[in-house]
Amino acid sequence: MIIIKISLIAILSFLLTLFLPWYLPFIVCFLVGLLLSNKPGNNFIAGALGVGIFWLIYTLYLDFNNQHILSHKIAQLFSESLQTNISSGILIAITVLIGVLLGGLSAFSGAMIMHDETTQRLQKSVKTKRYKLNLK
Amino acid sequence: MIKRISGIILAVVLIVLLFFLNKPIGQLPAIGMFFSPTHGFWKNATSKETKKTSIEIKALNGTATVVYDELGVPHIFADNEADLFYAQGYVEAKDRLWQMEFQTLAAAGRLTEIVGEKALPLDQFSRRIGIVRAAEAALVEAKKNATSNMMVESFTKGVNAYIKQLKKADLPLEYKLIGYEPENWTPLKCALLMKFMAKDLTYYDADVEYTNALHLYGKEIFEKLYPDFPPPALDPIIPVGTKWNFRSVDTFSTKTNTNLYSALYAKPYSEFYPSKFLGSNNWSVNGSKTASGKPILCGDPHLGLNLPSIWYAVQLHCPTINVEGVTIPGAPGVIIGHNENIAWSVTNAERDVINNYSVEYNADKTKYKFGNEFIPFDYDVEVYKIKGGKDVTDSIRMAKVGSIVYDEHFGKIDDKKHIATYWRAEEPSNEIMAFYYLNKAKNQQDYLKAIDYFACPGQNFVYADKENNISIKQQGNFMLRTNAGDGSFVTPLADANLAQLKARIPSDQNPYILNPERGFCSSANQNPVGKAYPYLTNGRYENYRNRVINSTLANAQNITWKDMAALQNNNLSLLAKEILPTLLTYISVDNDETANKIFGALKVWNYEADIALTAPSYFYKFWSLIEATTYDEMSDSKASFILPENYNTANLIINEPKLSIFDIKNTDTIETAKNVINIAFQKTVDYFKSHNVENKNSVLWQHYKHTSVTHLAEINAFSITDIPIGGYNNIVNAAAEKTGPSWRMIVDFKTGKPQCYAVYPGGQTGNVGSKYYTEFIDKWSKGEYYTFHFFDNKKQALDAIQKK
Repeated sequence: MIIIKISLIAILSFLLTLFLPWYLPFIVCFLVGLLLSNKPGNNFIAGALGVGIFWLIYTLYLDFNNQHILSHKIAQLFSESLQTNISSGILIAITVLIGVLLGGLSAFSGAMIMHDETTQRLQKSVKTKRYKLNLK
Repeated sequence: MIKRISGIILAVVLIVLLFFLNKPIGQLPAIGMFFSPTHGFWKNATSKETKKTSIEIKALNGTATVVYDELGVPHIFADNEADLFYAQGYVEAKDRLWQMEFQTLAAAGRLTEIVGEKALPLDQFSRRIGIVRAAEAALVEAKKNATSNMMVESFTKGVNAYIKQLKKADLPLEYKLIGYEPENWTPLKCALLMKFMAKDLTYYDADVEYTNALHLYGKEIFEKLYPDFPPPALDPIIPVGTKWNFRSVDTFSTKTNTNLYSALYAKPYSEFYPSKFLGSNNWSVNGSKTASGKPILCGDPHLGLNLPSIWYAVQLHCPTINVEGVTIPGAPGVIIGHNENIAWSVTNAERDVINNYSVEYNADKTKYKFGNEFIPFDYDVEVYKIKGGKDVTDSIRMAKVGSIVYDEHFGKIDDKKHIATYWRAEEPSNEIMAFYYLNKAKNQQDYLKAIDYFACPGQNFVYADKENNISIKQQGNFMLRTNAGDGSFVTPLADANLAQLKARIPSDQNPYILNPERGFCSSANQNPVGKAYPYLTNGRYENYRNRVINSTLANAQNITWKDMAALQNNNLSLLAKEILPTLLTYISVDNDETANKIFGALKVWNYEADIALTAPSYFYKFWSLIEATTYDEMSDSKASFILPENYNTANLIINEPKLSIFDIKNTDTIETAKNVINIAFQKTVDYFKSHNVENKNSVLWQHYKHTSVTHLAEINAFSITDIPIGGYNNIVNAAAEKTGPSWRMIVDFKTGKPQCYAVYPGGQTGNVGSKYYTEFIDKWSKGEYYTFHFFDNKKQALDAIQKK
């Protein structure tokens, strides 16, 4: 199930961001969390890995084909304005981290909204069963 | 239930977070968008670029084909002129959109809209001096003429067609970084760009500085420091002895006012004025001097060295036009280049086209004295939109001659020292037509007719054609002046004569020569003419590059294009060659090790400003300290001053070493040039003693000079610094710290069909993420050239890119 979710998020994100804004992957994560919910923790991982893997692969693809020309310049730009030493590796890490955190949290919040109801129903039925059992 | 609520809260928090990550905050870009690989900076990291390619553009009437060669130069083929300029607009936007817009926003005084309040003084300066007023006047002229109207309209539609199909993810990097989006192009922007160039090439005006110097030194010394004609060796554009076969028009008698120069004036925002080292070289030699018997034409404009480059190379082809060369992105047509029949290049005329007038107000400063009466001001009310702030309104006083740039609101100038400025660029003109006709010119008459449209900034148009004609004309709308000092000083506005101010030297009486006996025409921002020319040609003139070029060309025979390449890259410092021997005889060196080392290096120096030498570093530091010590009077005051041209200072050191200018003000003794030179030498030694400690290599000329090609928004990470290139100001290879040869072109008519060899310090693409962004800089710094393609037709172009 989680592998399917990760692939779904990654593929949908890729396809939709061809036309739609950059934050589309997080809406996808949220909806996946909302609609295909089981445990919120499980969804966090699905969202985090779904966006994370997509962004990581896409970033590496662009950066390698560009021979790191632009990432070096952007790294220098950030190094100079923040007065620290930032490498293009750190830029990739920041990129992926943004994808992982936002993706994970979006899916998590979607799942929480849904999961709340399902768990309560689940807990209720468990309690009812126990009650029935106790009656016996 | 609690979980659901916390889920909703988290979702809301995420939405808010995404909202902020999608917006630029302060100096930071929109972080989320900026880092996202699908829309952010990663998307500008272009992969596997292929240059030899072609695209089709659906234009106004038909389809234009653009063939990109291995240099990334587009060769545009269209069926008619409107489609051609449409495609030119499209193609320039494709490679240089951000630059085009940024430059026109700067020209329009609208940078505050994208970078916020910090740009307000610069924006106010641009609008107060009148770039926008000038552009609006030019646009009216352009629209009156059906051809120029077609050019700007088609070009504009082409740019906008590109903008329309541009996806947000594919915006040039700078938009993402600064956080804004392109607006539509307009014909006004084409005009703004031309006037931006006019500002760069004429707004070095020194009326204020001359007035102050006259006040400080008195007339006798002033004329030695800032002579109209340089005393040692005059080598004007039109050779001395050339006869002027025209009857000069009547001029005006000037009122002389003895109390004129009683005040010291200031230019508070001196950093907004163009560098005095913008200039250019150009020359053409005819068949009598070349190996092939056919002419060669050369040009290298010296402008600010920026990325993306000020120039963009292009070939434009349709049934009525076939031209190749460079243009300034945003301007239709080719500005410097060649067609099948002729070649041309430009240098700046450096003539004074600005007059400054001191203003006498009425009590509430709503009126100014003009003649014998007080007349009310007009007002130019400008509104500045500020990113992240409230609009600012600025009201500019307009007198009949022009605007008051500095006042109590801008620059905080004392009321008695307000100046109204007249700028020739505000007169209506239609320079676009000059380029249109030059692009199509078939012969020498066509060239003269074409450049007649050119008014401001005045330029020296050098010319060569396949029929072996060479020519040069200084063309512009120049002011009619006869008396020494006319237009060079701040004079009372009350005495201004509008008729005289607007009067011009007839275009057919501008300095001009066709097929001179010496077999070459040349210009390098020097005085255009000798003393026999009937009008005053005051300006700020160079007197070193011209003499190196002219003596080289005069002595050369059997010239090939490679000889011309060598001349464009000539690093001889004629200043050093002429003055250093004298300086060295004055210096007494003691036992100091550094002093001996510097003296020794200067003594054996061959005067070549080569990258691996230390002597040029020592010499230019030494020279700047000589100037600072000599003109200590100027640096003492808070008023604006300008250093005399190097050749005037050098001449005074050699011929009048006891002149009062060499006396140092705050000492009891009387100093002469000898004292000044020794003091400056000691300071040079002290400077390099402390300099050496840090890095021995940094004394080498390359590092000491530190030529940089700087990103337009001054982003260091996108700039190239410390480029290994020799030369300097006043040297033919004029590569200085931030200015230099912005395009080097040689057009050889050897085979009848013109062949262009050229290079510029940049790359065709304006995309920071492309490996071609700085592609040409390496060859440029080494003095090497690319062989350009000039195709006869589309098929030839397509065949050429499919080969190899």
